[in-house]
Amino acid sequence: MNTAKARTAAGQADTIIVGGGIFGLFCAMTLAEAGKSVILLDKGRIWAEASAVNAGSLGVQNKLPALIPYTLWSWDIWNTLSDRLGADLGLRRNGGYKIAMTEDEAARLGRVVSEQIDYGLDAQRLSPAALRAQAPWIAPDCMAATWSPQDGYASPTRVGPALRRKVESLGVRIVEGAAVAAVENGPDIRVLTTAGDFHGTELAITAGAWSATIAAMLGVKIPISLDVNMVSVTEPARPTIECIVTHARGILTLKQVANGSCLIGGGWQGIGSIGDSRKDIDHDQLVHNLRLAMRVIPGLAPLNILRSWAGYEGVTPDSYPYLGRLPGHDNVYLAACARGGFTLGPLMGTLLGELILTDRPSRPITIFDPARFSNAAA
Amino acid sequence: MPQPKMRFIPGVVPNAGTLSFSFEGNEIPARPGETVASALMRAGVPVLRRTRIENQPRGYFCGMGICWECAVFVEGTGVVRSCGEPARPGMVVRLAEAEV
Amino acid sequence: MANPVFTPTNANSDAPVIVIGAGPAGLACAQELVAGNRRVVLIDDNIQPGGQYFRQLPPGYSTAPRARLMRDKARYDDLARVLDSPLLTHLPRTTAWSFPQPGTVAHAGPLGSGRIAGSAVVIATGAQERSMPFPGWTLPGVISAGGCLNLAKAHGLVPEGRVVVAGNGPLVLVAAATMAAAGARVTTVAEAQQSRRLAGAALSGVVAAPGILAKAAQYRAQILRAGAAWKTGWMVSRAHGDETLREVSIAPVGPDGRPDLTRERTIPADLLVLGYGLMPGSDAARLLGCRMELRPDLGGLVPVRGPDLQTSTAGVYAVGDGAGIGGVEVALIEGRLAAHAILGTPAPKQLAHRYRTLDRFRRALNSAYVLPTPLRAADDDTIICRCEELRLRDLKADGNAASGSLNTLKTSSRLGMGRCQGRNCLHTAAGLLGLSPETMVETMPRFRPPLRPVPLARLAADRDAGPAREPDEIILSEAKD
Ligand SMILES: Cc1cc2nc3c(=O)[nH]c(=O)nc-3n(C[C@H](O)[C@H](O)[C@H](O)COP(=O)(O)OP(=O)(O)OC[C@H]3O[C@@H](n4cnc5c(N)ncnc54)[C@H](O)[C@@H]3O)c2cc1C
Ligand SMILES: Cc1cc2nc3c(=O)[nH]c(=O)nc-3n(C[C@H](O)[C@H](O)[C@H](O)COP(=O)(O)OP(=O)(O)OC[C@H]3O[C@@H](n4cnc5c(N)ncnc54)[C@H](O)[C@@H]3O)c2cc1C
Repeated sequence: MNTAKARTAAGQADTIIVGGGIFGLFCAMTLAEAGKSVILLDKGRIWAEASAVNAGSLGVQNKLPALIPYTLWSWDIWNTLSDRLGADLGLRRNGGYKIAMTEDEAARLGRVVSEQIDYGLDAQRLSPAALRAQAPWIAPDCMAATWSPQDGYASPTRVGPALRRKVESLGVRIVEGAAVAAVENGPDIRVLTTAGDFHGTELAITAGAWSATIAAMLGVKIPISLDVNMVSVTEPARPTIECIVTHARGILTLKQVANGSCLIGGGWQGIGSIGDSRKDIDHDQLVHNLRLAMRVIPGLAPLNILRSWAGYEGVTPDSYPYLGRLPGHDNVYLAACARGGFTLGPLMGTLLGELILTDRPSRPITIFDPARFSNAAA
Repeated sequence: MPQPKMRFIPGVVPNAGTLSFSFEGNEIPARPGETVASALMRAGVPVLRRTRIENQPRGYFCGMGICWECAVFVEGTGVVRSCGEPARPGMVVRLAEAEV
Repeated sequence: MANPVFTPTNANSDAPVIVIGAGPAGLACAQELVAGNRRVVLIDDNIQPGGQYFRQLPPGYSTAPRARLMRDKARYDDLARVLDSPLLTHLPRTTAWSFPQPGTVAHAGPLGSGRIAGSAVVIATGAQERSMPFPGWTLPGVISAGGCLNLAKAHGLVPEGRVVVAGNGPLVLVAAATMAAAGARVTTVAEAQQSRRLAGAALSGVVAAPGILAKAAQYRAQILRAGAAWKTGWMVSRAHGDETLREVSIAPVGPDGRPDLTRERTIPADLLVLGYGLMPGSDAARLLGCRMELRPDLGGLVPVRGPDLQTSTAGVYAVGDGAGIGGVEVALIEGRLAAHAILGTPAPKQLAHRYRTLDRFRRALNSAYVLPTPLRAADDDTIICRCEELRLRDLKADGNAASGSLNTLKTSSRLGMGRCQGRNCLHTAAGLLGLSPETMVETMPRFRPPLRPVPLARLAADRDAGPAREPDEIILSEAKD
């Protein structure tokens, strides 16, 4: 133990992890629990990007059908996480409505939910009358809805500090303000950062939307595009919407959290790029996001909006995450870019850790192969 | 012990006539144009909201639109700063808690 | 950090100048612009124009000629004539909530919501008060100096019962004198600064601005005439009461800036007025991405300005107390100077000269009231964040208390996440947790729109929003066929 500590203090570890979001922290926890020495690097503070600023939905209904099993497995981790971390994570599993406001959307909702049910989603279709009885706060002209008891949410601002405490107690060395500038892969990995050099046997890239830039340092091209998602929060209100609300077309997510505030998102795009680091509100799209929220839940109209913000989410061409070895590098691993990555992060980080530890993760990961687009092109 | 009230400064001539609104079910008189906070403080009602977690009393504080301690809930309108909201006849006002 | 470049495409067209804030600075600026034949849109979130200093009674109220109100009415009436000009559009009860582009202001209010592209933007959003938390400061009956002045000015009210005024700075004088003039029973005034340091300030001021000092002397006389005990070097230590204020404890300021509780005195009070200083309301400039600097002589964090009062964002000007604490005279002159800069006309020599004098004076005054050690009466049990009900203990116990970053602490503790948007608490929390002013500024959370809380429906009512780009998610199964 002490030698491990001395080694990490000197910048050496079994595994160097780049990126301290939810993916990186779960990977670190998995490795450290198995006795590996770990250094976790972040360009700024950990838990300051997507994992910190996201809307906290732990939705199952809003996932692609093939990702439903993974979402449920991730929920298995979420379910016991408060105990494991010994902290209140603002976690609730009160279910969720997925709604359709037009006939087209209703048709789509119906098609998708059948497919999702085939993959293991527990959901039921609600007649408009049943919906009105259960959720009178949803607009009366809502065309169709499904209900799943499996949806929920957690508070990103609580999860981060609790995870940090946990991995630090496991001996993980967190180095903040260590922006990775270059990676050399000889027999060992050498990571050059603004806070010094670090050496490891393996490298895990969990740098979210920035993962492609790290892969590029090793000469590997991984397609990642950038979403600049916006979220708004209202003043606290009397608890009414005690579950999450999502939309047949994925353009609205909404929930009322523990303090009574409503969080409004849906992937409406703000302004910014990896290059300029802007994370600005697109005022036009913000207004449309709010209009849609008000159309679906008219009772939101008088609530004061207190803040709107934007954050970066990396997206793959097929919207499935990357999880696996970096093509051409046996000792470099990648996990990044799940749509709904707050929900999926615990599983993705854990599977990455298992892959590094045993080469045999407990769940199939072939559909997430980081090489899938380079192979297709070749 | 009755709470000392606010009163009009001698020489200030408010608008003639009175209207009334309700606050937590009690009828509160107000002059036309007078704010909700002003009418409540003249009526000897210093507690304008209660806090969400500890249920502590709060009242008029900054008077300039920054602190939101004087927030009240107005039926049909939502949560407003009572120090900047003119009283309207028949208005139904409660301790601040927004409603969806 | 990249500063958005405002290319004032409308600079030479007849697009209006957008003035945010209808206080002395905004009104004076508008008046000068209109005199120069410029169109102006004046946005202010109050029912009536006037800002802090010229705060008006509700429409229709009148005052008897001998009413004891300190209203400076003649000057206001003169300024307010600009509101009748056909060149000016006044949007009352309207919040300037954001800047979709540096030259465009998004506004929302009961009269409608939309955007205006200006040929220039003038930020005249005024000051806010500094909090000095202490046990009991959240009780109803404890109010700020602004709250006190507006009781009289905006509502025409005076409290029955006993009034105690405590604070540090010119506000103490103003608040106590206002209460006394309105006929309140001011029993005690506690100024934290030692009187000898104030005398120093007075001397440096005599040269610069005798008029203002005369006014201060007059205030002081008024307070003493009202029979109040006047204590310098004393501060408030506690407020007592259950549902409302009943008593106030005051104590001499110790060398560590804390109340010396061994000499604490408790006095009955029905209203406690706090005036622990002003700081510029810099949110609008920060939201715009203007370069900011920490200037104790200007009262805190302010936008960097050129001699023409332009910020680092071209076409955006900042004037009045929002750009540096200076009081009404400075605000009026800065408004006019910015107008001249926008019009491209030279400012009258006399105006520029008077500004130089007043600017010197206000900087001396702000510095004179800076205490050797910041005041500190909060104990672990004291509420720091009034909205989220966070006590000092909660903040100290937060895992990120030692992070040295206000932003990091905010995200984990919820500090500043309520309706006040951090205005009541962020600065004080930083000080109480031992962050240097520089670190506080560096790690301050980015200001997120809207600039003030705005009902969702009013943001949604934006009549000028561009077309929607719906972030429709892909459906793999459908994409395949
Ligand atoms: C506004 C918004 C709302 C969202 N809402 C939801 C939601 O409600 N539910 C949901 O499930 N998902 C949501 N998501 C998605 C989810 O937040 C992300 O998918 C997830 O947090 C990604 O985690 P991560 O660890 O991969 O990335 P991140 O949390 O972004 O972490 C990546 C880390 O890598 C670091 N890094 C980058 N480059 C370098 C470098 N060169 N050197 C060192 N470190 C580096 C970064 O600083 C960062 O800390 C939302 C995303 C956003 C932006
Ligand atoms: C409590 C208090 C007491 C004072 N007493 C005195 C005194 O006695 N003598 C003195 O010389 N000075 C006094 N001052 C200083 C005072 O601020 C200035 O004298 C003067 O009012 C400053 O003028 P201004 O135009 O810069 O700002 P203000 O008068 O404060 O006007 C700014 C206006 O902008 C509005 N506003 C701000 N943000 C927005 C937004 N986003 N959208 C729409 N509107 C917005 C505000 O509501 C306000 O009406 C006092 C200040 C305070 C706070």
